[in-house]
Amino acid sequence: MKTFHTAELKVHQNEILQLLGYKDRLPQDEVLGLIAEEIDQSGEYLEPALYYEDVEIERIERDSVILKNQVSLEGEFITSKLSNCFKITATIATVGNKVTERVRAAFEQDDYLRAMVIDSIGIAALGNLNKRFWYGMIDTIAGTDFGITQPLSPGDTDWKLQEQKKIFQCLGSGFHQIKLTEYCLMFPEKSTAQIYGIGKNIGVARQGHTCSECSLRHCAYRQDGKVELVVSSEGAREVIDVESGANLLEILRNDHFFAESPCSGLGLCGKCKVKIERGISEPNEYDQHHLTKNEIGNGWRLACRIQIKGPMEVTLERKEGIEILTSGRTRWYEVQPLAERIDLQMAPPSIHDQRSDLQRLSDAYGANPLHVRLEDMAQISRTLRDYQFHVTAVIFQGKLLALAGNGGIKEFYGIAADLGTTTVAVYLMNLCDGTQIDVESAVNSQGAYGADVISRINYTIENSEGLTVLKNLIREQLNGMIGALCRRNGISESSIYHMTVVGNSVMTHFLLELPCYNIAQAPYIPVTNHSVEVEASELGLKLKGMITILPAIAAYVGSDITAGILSCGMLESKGYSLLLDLGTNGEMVIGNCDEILTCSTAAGPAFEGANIRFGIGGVRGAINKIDLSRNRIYETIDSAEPVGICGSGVLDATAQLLHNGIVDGRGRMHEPDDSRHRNLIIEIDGMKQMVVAHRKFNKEPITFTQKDVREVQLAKAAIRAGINLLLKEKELDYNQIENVYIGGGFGNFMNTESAVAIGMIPWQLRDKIRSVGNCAGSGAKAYLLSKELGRKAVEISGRARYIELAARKEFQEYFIEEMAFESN
Amino acid sequence: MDLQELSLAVQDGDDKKVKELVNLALQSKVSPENILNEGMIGAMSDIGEKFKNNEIYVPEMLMAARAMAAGMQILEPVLVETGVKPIGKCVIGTVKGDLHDIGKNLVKMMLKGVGIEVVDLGADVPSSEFLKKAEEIGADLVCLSALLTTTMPAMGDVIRVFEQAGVKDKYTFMIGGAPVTSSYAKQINADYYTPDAGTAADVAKDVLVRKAAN
Repeated sequence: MKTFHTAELKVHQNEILQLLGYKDRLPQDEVLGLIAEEIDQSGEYLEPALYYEDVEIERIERDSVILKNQVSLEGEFITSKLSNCFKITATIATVGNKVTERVRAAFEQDDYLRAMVIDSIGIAALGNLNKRFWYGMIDTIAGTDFGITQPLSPGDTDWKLQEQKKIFQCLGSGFHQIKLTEYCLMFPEKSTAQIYGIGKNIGVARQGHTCSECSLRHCAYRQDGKVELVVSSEGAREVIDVESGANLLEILRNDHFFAESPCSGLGLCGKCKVKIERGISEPNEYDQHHLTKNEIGNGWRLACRIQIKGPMEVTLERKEGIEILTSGRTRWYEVQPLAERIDLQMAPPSIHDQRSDLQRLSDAYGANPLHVRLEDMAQISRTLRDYQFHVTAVIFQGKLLALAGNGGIKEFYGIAADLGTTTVAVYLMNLCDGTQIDVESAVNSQGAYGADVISRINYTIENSEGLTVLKNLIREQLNGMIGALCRRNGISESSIYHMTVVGNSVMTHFLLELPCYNIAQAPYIPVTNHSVEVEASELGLKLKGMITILPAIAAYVGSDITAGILSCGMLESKGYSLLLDLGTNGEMVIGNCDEILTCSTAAGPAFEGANIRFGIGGVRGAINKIDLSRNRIYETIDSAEPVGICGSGVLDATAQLLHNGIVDGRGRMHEPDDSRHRNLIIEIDGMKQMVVAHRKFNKEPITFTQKDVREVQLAKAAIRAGINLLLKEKELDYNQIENVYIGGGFGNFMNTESAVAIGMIPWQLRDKIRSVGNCAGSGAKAYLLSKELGRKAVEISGRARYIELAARKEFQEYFIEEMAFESN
Repeated sequence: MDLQELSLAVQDGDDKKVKELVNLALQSKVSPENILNEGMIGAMSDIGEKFKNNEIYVPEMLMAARAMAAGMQILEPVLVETGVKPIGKCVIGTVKGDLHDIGKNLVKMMLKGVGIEVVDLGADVPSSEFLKKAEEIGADLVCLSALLTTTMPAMGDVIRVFEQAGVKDKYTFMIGGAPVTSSYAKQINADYYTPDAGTAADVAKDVLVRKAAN
C-alpha cells in the first residue's frame, strides 16, 4: 500500500455553489459570505489522505475480473469497463471526520445553512483529492501508449456497493483511520473507494462521473437531458449531443476539440475563451476578470465556467494539438443514404393476385426481386400479414436488411470509419437526418506491430499467423469502438445498417485479411483497388448491415484519399486545386471537376515523430509550437509538461532555426552569432542540437538535432518534389492553383508559415492554403449519407490517374534540387 | 393586517423582519392560527413549490426555514396558550447501519415548516426505536431515510416491526434517500416515496389534512 502525498486541498467557491444547486445565478451575499468564511477555515477541518495500490489483472471472465491477489471483481459493468486493461490501481481516500463533526454541530445548533455549506466543502475537497491523484496518473502515462479509465466506484453505477470490500482487500492493512462497516458504509463518511483500469491503447478517460451510467435515477444533480451543441472551429462545424448541465470545457476536451486550459478548468487562467454564437448568458465574475469589455461584448466567455443548459453554438478561437483529428468539413450535400429506410404498402393477396410474398414486396419497392438473406426470408410472410401488408423496410442496393411493421424501424444508424496507420476514428451517424451523434477515436491497436505500414507488412511476411493477428486486432478494435459508441448513446448494434470504411490500402487489406506482400515491393500491386461491399458478419463486425470499403486509387493512394478528394471541395470547381495529405506517406492530388492526378511519396515519418531524436505523435505534452522570439520558446499540447516534439513542432523548429540563421540553406547547424541564442545550441556526442525544453521528471533536455534537420530536409524535399511534378505534368504554374487543401492530423496542426518558410509548400501558394481537417473521415461520412456522392467516389477512383514517382527520372532531379532550404 | 408581507419576509429568509411582523400581527389582534397558517405555513408551501421547480436552491430554502423558526419562537407560546395543536406528529430517522443524516435533516425542517411536530431519532436508529417512539407520542407519520443500497432493506425491517406489533395501519410510512424509488416503496409496503424535502412536506400535509377530514 502506498500513500499519495499532496499539497493542501483547495476548494473554490464555484464548486460549492454547484453542489448547492446554483446553476444560473449567484445566491445572496449572506450565503457567499458564509461560503468564503468556511472555505477560509477549511484548512483546519479537512484532513485529506489517499492510499493506493496497483494490482495486476490475472484474467477476465464473462462476469468477473480476477486479480493477481485472487480478489475477484464481479459484475457485467466492471468487467466491460476493465475489458482491455492489464492492471488496476485501487484507491481509498478521505478528508477525515472533523468535517462531518462540524456539519453535525451546525445542525445541532439549527444552523442548517452552515451545515450544508460545510458538507459541500467536504464533498468538493474529496472530489478534488481524487481528481488530483487521477490527473497525476494521467501525467505519468503521457506520451506512452498506455491509457486509463475513468474512476470507477461501487455503488453509484451498476457495480454493486458490496464490492467496496474488494477495494479494501486490495489495499490490505496499514491505514486505520478509514473503516468499512458491515453495511458498506465508510467511516469517516467523507471517504471514497475507487479503482482505475490501466491498459494499452485504451485512451485516457477525462470525464469523471457519467450520469447515464449512474443508478441513482432521481439524483438532484443528474444531468441526462441531451441538448444540441454546435461547435465551429476553423471552418469545420460539428453538432454534438451533450448532457444538459455538462461543463462546456469538459465536453470540448472529451470530443477532442482543443481548448487551451492550463489551470484545468478552475477559472484561474482565462485561456479557455470561446465565442458564444447562440445561447449566450450574462458574463459572470470570471469572464469579467479575464476578458476585455470588447471581448465580452462580442460574445466571448470562458468555457470552463459554462454549464450547458440549452441549445448552444460556439466558435473556438483556434484549434490545434488534439490527439486525433475527428472534425472535418461540414456537410454540404443532401442526406440520402445508401441504406434506405422506406415505407412499403401493398395490396393483400387474393385469389386473383397470387404473387409470392417476396414478389409482392419487391414490386412494392420496385426492384426485381429483392435479395433476401435466407434466415430473413422465413420471416417475410409473417411480418407482412401481422402488419396488414403495410411495412417499413431497410434496403441496401436491392438487398433487404430489415423488415418490420409500418413505422417500426425507429432506430436507423450508420458508421463511418477512418482507419489510419496511427489512429482510428469511428463516427456514429444518424441515417434519418445525417447528423453525427458521436465519435470515438483511438490509437490503432496494430501499433505494437510497427509504426508504419511497411513494418506491419513485414510482420505478416515473417509470421505465418501475422495477417490473422493484425486482422483480428483491427476488427476487435472496431467492435470495441462501435460497442462503446452504442453503449454511450443507448443504441443497439443491430440498428446500425451500414458502415463505410476508408484507410490506406494496407489498412483496408488488413481489415479484409488480404495479403499485402505485393504492396510492399515493386511494382507495388494491391489485391484490389475496387470498393468492397460485404455483410458485416463476414468481417466479424457486430452490426446488422453492410460494410463498404471505399475504392482506392493505387497501392499508395488509398480509399482515404478518394474520400479526401470527395470531401475537400476540389471537385466543385473547374479550377485546379492541390490536396496534400501529410502523414507517414505524403499523398498528393491535383485535380478539378474533370480530372484527378495523384502521386505518393515516402515523405518519411519525420512529421509523425519517427526518426526524430525526441519525436512523438500529437499527444498531451508534445511540443507543438516553437518560437525563438519568445521567452519560453515552446508550447505543448494541453499545456502539459513537455515530453517530446510532435510534427508541427519539428516543422517550427526547422523554420525558426533557419529564420535565426542558426541553420543555413544547406541544412548545417552553426553556433549562433547572436548572444540571445548562445545557450540554445549545445553539443552532445559531437552533434549540435537546439535545446527546446527540459523534461520535468529527469531534467533531461529535449533537443532538436542536426540529424533531425536532415530528416526534415528529406521529408520536405519529397513533398515539394511531388508538388512540382504534379504541376509539371499538367503544365500548370502556381497562380493557376485555386486552393491548396491540407488534410490529415499533422497537416491540420502545422503552422503553414513554417511549412512555407522551409519550402515544403511554395510561397506562391501561401495564401491559398486551407486546412480541411480529417477530410478522409468527412468523405467516409459523405459516402454513407449520400448515394450521389457514393457514385461520385466510385467514378473518381475509376478515372484518377496515378503517377509512380519511382518510375520518373525527373522526380529524382526535383528531389535533389529541393533538398536545400534556399531554393525559394 | 395583511399577512402577505409576513409570508414574503419568511420566503426571503429575513428573520428580523419576520419577528417584527409577527409581533405586529399579534398586537393588531390577528389570530395566532391565521398568522401560523397564512403567514408561515403558506410561505413554506410556496418555498417547497419553488424548490421543486428549481426556482430556488437549498440555501434559500434553509434561510426561509430559519426565518420561520425565528417567528415561531414568538408565536409558539401564544399558540400553546390558545390551545392550537400541530396538524400532526411525525417520527423521523435514518435507519440502522446508515449514518447519513443530511437529507433526513432537510426533510425534518420542511415538515416543521408545514406545522408538523417532528421527533428526530437521529441516524443509525434500530427498527424497534421507531415503533417505541411512534407509539409513545401517538405519531401520524413515520419517515425513514437510507442512502445506501445496503441499508435500504432496513427500511423494510422497520415496517415489518410495526406489522408484527399489529399497529402498522395506524401510521403512514414515508421513505426517501438516494437509491430509493417509488417501486421500492411499494415492495416494502411503505405508503409514499418522495424525491425531495419539498415534496415530502407537501405529501405529509396532504396525508394529515385527509386524515383530519375523515
